[in-house]
Amino acid sequence: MNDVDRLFREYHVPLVRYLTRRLGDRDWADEVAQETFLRAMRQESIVSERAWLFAVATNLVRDEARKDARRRHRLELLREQARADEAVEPEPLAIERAQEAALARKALDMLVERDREALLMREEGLDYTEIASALELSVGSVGTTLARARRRLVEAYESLQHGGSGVRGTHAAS
Amino acid sequence: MQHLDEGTIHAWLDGALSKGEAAAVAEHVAQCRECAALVAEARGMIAAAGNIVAALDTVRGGVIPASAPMSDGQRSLWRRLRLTPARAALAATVLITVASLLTVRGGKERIASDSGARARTEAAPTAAHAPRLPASASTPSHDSAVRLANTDADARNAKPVNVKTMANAPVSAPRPRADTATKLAADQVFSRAVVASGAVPASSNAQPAAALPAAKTTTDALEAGVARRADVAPQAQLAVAGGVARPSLKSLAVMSELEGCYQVRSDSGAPTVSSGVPARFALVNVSAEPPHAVRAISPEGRIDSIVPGGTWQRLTPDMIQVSFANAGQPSALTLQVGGRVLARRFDAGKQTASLPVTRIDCRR
Repeated sequence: MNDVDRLFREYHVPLVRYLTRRLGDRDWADEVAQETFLRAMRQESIVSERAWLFAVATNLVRDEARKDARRRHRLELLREQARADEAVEPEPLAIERAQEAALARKALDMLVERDREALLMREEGLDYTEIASALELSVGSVGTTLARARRRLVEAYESLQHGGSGVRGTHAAS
Repeated sequence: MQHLDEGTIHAWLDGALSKGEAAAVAEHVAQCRECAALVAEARGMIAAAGNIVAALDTVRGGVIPASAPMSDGQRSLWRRLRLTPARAALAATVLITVASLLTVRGGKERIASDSGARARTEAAPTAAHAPRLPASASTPSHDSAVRLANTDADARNAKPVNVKTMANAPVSAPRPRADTATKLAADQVFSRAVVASGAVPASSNAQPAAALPAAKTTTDALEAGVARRADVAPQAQLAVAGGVARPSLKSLAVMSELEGCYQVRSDSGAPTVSSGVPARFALVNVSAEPPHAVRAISPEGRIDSIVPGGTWQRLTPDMIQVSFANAGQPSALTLQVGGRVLARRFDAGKQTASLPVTRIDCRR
């Protein structure tokens, strides 16, 4: 399917960004994106391309997350450790940013899966129809989903910022 | 019409409603202070959530290339101002009072709305949200609210009115549209919350027609007191109450550097995405509060009348965003300031292109 070239050109960057934001891991995101495009190649025709790609990627993440969340987590920790060891006196600014990123990550993780995905898709520019299609929601409920996601994200971020670890809510399944 | 629910408001701000629905929402928001406050709050939420998501990109292995370190002055404005996302959101909900003296020139500013259309059936009373708002929803101000101020000027009455912040003209969420976001480092993104909270990137596809006159009014309001020659009525005097977070004096001072005239060259190769964007435009910074008005340039090279729906503001120390909310296809130009020549990104609906933008000479 020649179209894959075009699909790749158009959607690889946003898809990887979406996945990286979703997973917090660029390598993993790359893998999932690759698998997504492989599947696209095998597909006869795709109607709503962007929605399709994001839906497939999202499902891959869900499947994989279910399968080996714990192994992943362990690898993550190891990798984190390795990186910390490598790090040579990072600039204060870098630390500050990393802290903000970590806070944002925590806050995002506190959302329920669907809210998080809808929000991240929206941030990649998907319209309501595409989000609805990718997440199997009704179009009419996308606004509500996004409103809730945004509010909770902001609230979670703020409470993390002020409350440190004493945050309400639980770590949503990822 | 019932009050709007949060989902409908977000859908509206995201440009996801049909024309008729959007018009009905706009009409309601223009009349309902409570819903206008909710809209303002939603804008804050949208902006803040976008900033938080963008902050993720600094994560190791992230997709955003490291950007040049910023000076202390630019650093984490958000933090320096002790402005948190939620607070920004909250502050953005606060309506500003604008003592606006309206010069009436006919009732043409009235929003043309599809009065027959009703909001979506899911619209439900939202009184539950009201208590979140500051008690006095019409007095204090947040500068992000100011720049979003849409004068809900009822031109026909020609009396002081409350400007309902952000009530009209849904511009879509200032989501750091992906590629734009890649240019922003975390701190920049965060300071953008201050500089652009809930603000303009008008990239929604379904900009209601109603937005046009409203935006016109807005730019007028922002220009009033400095640019008297605005040739569109009404003019309003902006009296900004004390804000929770204001751009630093420094950032205000450097704004003036960006004033001037610009030319967009539609070179070959660039997709034709320039609908709604004038080939030449002038950025004027007559008010300290963004968004600032965009003016047209006459054939003689003179700064001319306001471009309806055109606003600009600084996103980061070296990036400005110029939005055009008029015409069928709202668009936003992101200008990267680099010496005399500005590089550019252009978003119109889903289209994105690079257009060379250069500074040109012009006179007032």
